[in-house]
Amino acid sequence: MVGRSGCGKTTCLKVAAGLLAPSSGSIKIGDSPVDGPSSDVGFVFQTPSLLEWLTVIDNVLLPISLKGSVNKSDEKFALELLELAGIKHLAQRYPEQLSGGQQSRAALARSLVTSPPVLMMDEPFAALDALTREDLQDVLINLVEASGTTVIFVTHDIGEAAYLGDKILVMEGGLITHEVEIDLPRPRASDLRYEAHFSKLCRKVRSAMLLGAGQC
Amino acid sequence: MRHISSSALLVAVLIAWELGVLLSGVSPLVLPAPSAVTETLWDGLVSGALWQHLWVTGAETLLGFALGCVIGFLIGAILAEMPRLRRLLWPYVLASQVVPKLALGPIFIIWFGFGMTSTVIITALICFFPLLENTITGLSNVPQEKRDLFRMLGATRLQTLLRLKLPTSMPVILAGIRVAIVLALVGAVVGEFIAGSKGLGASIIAAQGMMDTTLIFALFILITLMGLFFYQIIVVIERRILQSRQKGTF
Repeated sequence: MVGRSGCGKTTCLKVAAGLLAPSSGSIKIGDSPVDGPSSDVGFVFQTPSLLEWLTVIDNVLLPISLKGSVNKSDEKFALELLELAGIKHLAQRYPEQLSGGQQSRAALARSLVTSPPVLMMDEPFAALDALTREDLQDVLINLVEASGTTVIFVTHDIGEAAYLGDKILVMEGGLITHEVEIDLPRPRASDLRYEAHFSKLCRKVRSAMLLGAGQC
Repeated sequence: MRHISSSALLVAVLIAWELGVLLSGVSPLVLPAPSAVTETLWDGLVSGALWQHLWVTGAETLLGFALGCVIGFLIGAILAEMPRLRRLLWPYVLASQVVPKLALGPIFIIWFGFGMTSTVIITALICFFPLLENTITGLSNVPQEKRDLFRMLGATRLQTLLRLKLPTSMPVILAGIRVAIVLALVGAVVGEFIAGSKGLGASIIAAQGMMDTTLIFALFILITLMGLFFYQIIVVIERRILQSRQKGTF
């Protein structure tokens, strides 16, 4: 989902996650209505939101430890996720010893440790520098491909939306105004960003956003 | 280096004070010389006359401190977890904070009698508010995203309190404890002015009655040293707690 700041992307996502109650209407994931936070939905926030008194590995295991005890296979899985995220060597560090990008990687691993069927992400990379953001986008692609999770990703960055997405929803004034299919092949890699077709898709999304603004 | 200059300053002030008293011939009733104060302090400690007062004031301080901190923390936690109750009680909490606690001393004497109980209660009342306020502030100021995270993870209310809110607010609550230990000593000493027959505060009043200014100064030094001692202990405990928090005890 792309749109300008304040167009309702985050609100929409929080309603879908069950964090906010809709003022009217209802939301369904599959066939089941959403009436509150569910463990089938993972959520990645705008900030990494790690607990600073836990090590990285304990932060990743937090969703499991809140549900009961952590066993060996959970730990092994958490370490695999950290390896895919490229920070396995930092597992015993504390968040304050990590850079912003590394914290975002840990937050990603945490959101996938329960293997949720749906993952919702609210501009998780917005605060990172351009190169780190590109790295994190590739990490996300790898993690999601390994887990088969459906991702709803909110961003205001058109390039990010086109690089990550299969379908882009353009939002404006609280409404979804356009839908753009992204027919780029997978697996995707960084060079894709400089291809003509990628630029064409980005332009299409951009003009959809401008059109949406005109309608308001 | 800084320590050396600070100590040098103290020595310089003491020398100037001693010489000033010596040369001006001012009465020891008004301003005793440091040497006389030291002698009185030493005599009191060696003869054991001061120890029982030290013991009484120390016990009152720590008892009142512990009582006030525990009750302040518990009520703070309850109010932080129950926003409606907090809104209902907040004006009264604020009002009671402004009441000069020491002015309640005479009432406590009527209720609990003259002596240690009244002083401990005054001290507890003084320690209660910094803990109450810091606990409420700390527990209510956990970032929204982290609270949403715990909601998404299906954490229970108790889990959210114990595993998110308390560890997050621990530095703020510990700061309240540090404020409380300093206030506790003030509470105990001044409480003794009103309600005590033993203790360093009561001794100050007794010394005043005997016009023994030198003894008042000696007691003053003793109270200061005790305050520094308690404060240092709290700082060490605080550091331990924050370290153990990071080792995952919380």
